Amino acid sequence: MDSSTPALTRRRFLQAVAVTGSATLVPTWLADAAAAAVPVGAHDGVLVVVWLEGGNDGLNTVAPISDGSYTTARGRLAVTATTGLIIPEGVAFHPSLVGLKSRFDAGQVAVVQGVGDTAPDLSHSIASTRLMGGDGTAGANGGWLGRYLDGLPGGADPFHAVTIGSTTPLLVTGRSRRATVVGTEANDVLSPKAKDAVGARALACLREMGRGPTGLGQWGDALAAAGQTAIAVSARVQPTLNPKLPDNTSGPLELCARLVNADLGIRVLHVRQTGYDTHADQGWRQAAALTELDKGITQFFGSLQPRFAGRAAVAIMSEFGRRVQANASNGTDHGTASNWMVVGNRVKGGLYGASPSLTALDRTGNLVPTVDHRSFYTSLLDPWLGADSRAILGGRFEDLGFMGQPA
Amino acid sequence: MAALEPLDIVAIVDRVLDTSAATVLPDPPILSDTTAGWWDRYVAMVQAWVDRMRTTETPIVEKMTLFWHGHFCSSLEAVGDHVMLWRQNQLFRALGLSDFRTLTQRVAVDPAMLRYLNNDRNVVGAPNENFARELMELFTLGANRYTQDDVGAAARAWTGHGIDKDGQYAFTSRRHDAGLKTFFGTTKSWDGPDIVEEIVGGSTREVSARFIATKLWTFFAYPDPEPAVIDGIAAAYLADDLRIRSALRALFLRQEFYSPRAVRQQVRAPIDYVVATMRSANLPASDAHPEWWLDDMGQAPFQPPNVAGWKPNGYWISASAQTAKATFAGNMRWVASKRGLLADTSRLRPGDAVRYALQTFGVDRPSPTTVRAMERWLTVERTKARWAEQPNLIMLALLSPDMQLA
Repeated sequence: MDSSTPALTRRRFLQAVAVTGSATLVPTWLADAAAAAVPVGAHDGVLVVVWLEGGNDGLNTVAPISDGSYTTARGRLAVTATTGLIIPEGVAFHPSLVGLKSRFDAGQVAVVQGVGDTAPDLSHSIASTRLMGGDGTAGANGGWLGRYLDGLPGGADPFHAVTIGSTTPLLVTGRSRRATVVGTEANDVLSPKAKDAVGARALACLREMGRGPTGLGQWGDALAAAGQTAIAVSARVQPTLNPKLPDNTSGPLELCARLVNADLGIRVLHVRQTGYDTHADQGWRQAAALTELDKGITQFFGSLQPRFAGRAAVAIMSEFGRRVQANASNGTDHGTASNWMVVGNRVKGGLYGASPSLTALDRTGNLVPTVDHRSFYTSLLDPWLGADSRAILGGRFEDLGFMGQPA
Repeated sequence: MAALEPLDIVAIVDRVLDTSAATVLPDPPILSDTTAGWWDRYVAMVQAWVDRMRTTETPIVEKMTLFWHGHFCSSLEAVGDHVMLWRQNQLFRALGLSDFRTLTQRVAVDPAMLRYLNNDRNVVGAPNENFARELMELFTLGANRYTQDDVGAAARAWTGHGIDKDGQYAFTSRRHDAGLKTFFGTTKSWDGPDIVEEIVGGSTREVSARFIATKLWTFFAYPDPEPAVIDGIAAAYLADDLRIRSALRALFLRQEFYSPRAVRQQVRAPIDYVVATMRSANLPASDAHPEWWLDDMGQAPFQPPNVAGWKPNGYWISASAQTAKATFAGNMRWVASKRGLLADTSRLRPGDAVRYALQTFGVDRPSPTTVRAMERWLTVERTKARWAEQPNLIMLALLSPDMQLA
């Protein structure tokens, strides 16, 4: 281990930002792996975001089954009083959401209806960029959770946020910081076993190769920096990969629970799930995707240690909902407003926001959002993450009041 | 590959673009075996393609096949049919340097694409907009170059173009909306192919030319190119009836392509990184198993993450992608050692051994930092565990930042 790493770290990080002029290009550079993680405070909330990629059909996730125009528009795709999992006020969960239904009954799920953008766009990339940005721009200032990370205490490179996968979405990319990408596989090159002296020497060489400017330009430096990050992340994350994660879509949420339990100072975790762009055969496609979601949420809370039960919440979001009128492929095209959710035992469960009219649609045949997405973010940022939503979102939006205090 | 003789740049570019020696890539036999499992058939496709990339005498063909795979995305997971994905891959191989009009028209009626973007389910009365939107946003024009009404009209125009029960393209007139539609301001009875022609060869041909030129430059050089670069490539392409080969020729002849901004300033995409390793180490796919590593590095062939495909440079850099490369390199050191790679470095002085190892992987001007670190390591390792020299020289060379740049 080289004790000079932390000092070099900050300088290199700032240099890299200066060179590229864009934080989105710079991988997080962690402090030396030997440095102790700063645990999450007893009153700090942890937020897990599950992003449903492709545009989840909110109308079939939390279905307005008592609204006749819903059944008419959706035909065979409609969730009904028979198939749906009834919650009060004429609304039913999709039949796949068995676990969420029981959490809802226990008062631990806030369903926010009609969440959307004030300037909806039907393109996946534009809609996600705008919703992830959260400041009315096309992502010019990073994502709203990224800007939250920018404002947290710590040096240039605290381990405050994690995204599971292989790339960092805009959502958790700030101006100067971004979430660290964590994979789900253990690695004995980057974390050699204690008795592996040959491995330790090779690792020392890797560390030396990545220290200081490479002379290879911005991408050579960025690759070297990411290599250092990988070594540091591996040291911290390796213990959480044992026992092996379940080899299915619950794996990432199980890893999230273990990372929270490890108390590494992580405040934000991000997981993406795919399969929601249901232009055709939505019936089984969305059922399969929501079943995985439901299992993942159950897995997460099942693995979470009791001491973190009051400090972790899961938010479920997506880039848009879907067209009210089903298409002829037993699917639905891109839409606007959707139902988002927050789950956790400090959540004040129930329905929030107003269910958008299914008849007074916009000119593309889509729902008119009733809740500005930034209002949803405000409701999380201020009470749960202890942040200043006004600074992060560039304006004041209503706190919907669905979050309690972390405990 | 034989060393290039000192030719002038035009001759080199023309040699690169000369695909007359291109051969047919045989279909993996297992693809037609309906009893074979999903994974085995997938592995056969990946290995056949990666081996072709490793051994081809006309690399531009495979470069463009990969480019179009990331451009006209379809994924096996969504399409659910190996043969369809493989045929699409062969289509890119056959037409990847042809003209953009023909290619786009063929892709539009390619069964994998029809299914991936649900155009096979797009019928009169209830159009499915998926293909129509992405055709314009991602394939030909870019976002904000059309209205939602244009999307609706294009979707209606594409109704009836589907797949028959044998998995082949088929047009069904009773499913087609033959009515009047207004697209880009013109009202007529648009059919799907008319829409493609209008976009790439009609009123928006210049927008489309610049869009494709930018995408090609980003793939081969760097993002956000100077406007003059795009003007030059687009002009060559438009002047030669939308020929991709002419766009490429103009691209490779730009002096910016040889500028400090471009040379060795691109992060290798995982497929490129793995293929470069296999080529240098002379490892066939049956030994290197590219299908085991590429997904964790972020680029599983035939499985782009979504319809927008992969992106360059920073997109490939993350702690977990670096971890996946470490796993890959950690395995390749044993596979390549067994095949005798770098078996004779112990006679060389440490610095020379390191430079030789890097050169073996195509890094001919390594960073002094890389050389210094590896030299220091090797000097010590020779006094501690001589057996580790060969495998760990391979591994460390593979994990050097130098090797990860193209």
